[in-house]
Amino acid sequence: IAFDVEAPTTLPPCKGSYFGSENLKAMVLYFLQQYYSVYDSGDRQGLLDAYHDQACCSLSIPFTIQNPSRGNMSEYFKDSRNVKKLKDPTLRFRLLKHTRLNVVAFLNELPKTQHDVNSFVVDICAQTETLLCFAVHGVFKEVDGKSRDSVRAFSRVFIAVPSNNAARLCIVNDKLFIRNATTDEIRRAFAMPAPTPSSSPVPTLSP
Amino acid sequence: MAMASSVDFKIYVDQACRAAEEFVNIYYDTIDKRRRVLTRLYLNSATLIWNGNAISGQDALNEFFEMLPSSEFHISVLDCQPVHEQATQSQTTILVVTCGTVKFDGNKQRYFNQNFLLTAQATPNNTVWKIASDCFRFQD
Repeated sequence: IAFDVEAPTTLPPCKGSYFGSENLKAMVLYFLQQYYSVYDSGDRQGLLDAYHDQACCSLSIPFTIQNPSRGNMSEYFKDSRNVKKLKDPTLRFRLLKHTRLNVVAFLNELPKTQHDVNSFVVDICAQTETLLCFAVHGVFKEVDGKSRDSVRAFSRVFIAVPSNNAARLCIVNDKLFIRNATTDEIRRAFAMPAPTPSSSPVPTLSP
Repeated sequence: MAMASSVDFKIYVDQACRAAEEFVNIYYDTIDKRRRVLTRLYLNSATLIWNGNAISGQDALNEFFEMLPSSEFHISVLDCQPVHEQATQSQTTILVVTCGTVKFDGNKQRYFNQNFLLTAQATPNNTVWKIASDCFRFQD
């Protein structure tokens, strides 16, 4: 006697961005374009307009020690908030940046970046009349400092409320996760052409 | 959730951390070992976005988790924030973000990132946190 009760091993297909509607797609893509053009400008003070007075923001990096040849994450380590490892309530509180001025001051201290907007995958996670929660995944590179040209991957969750100006979003929660990019992600980043045999630096294309 | 002072805010941050820690222990233990009861953790109106696939409501979620191969999750990073009251119409809500690895039966181990919105449902006796939204993506 045999019973054929097979456990599933097939995963649902992985799809691209999920926007839910064309309106939301247009709104969120417009927001991201504006946001990252300021974020990558070299001066992030301009992001003050994007945040609520009582906004909060935190950053995490992976706990595991990764391949040091791909650039270490030391510039992010002191700000990394991993509640699984950090048990001290005071430290947990301190690492959650609160109020618009603190959030933007914190973001302004992070390494200067150039994001590859073509790499972005966006999911609208939740939407109500008063809330829009969306996640952005993609890659960027650092453009100055000791990790210059290091390619990183990020996942970021924004929660926004409608602002006085109906066309704009006002961020109340911002959660940023940064890790080293994988070999595949580095290869695809910035539509980088194949390395040439010459010793000159490989040019990168701006998005 | 009034955020009139930083003292209040600290209380909400502490509450969010405690709820998030307890939640991730229960959630990933349930999805790995007691999958049949997993959807009890979700609101009836909850939405899951799983690698770009949208699944809404208890019946669809039940069906989805039944078809999903059995799993072994390992969480390495957890972070959480109280969600501002203006976004939640004063319904106490927290944002929980995790990352780690998952091995689905018959598949190779993958890195993933996941975020949840949890809302506090007050009952006469206690407060129960339920998942209002769940968004999952592989990271490699």
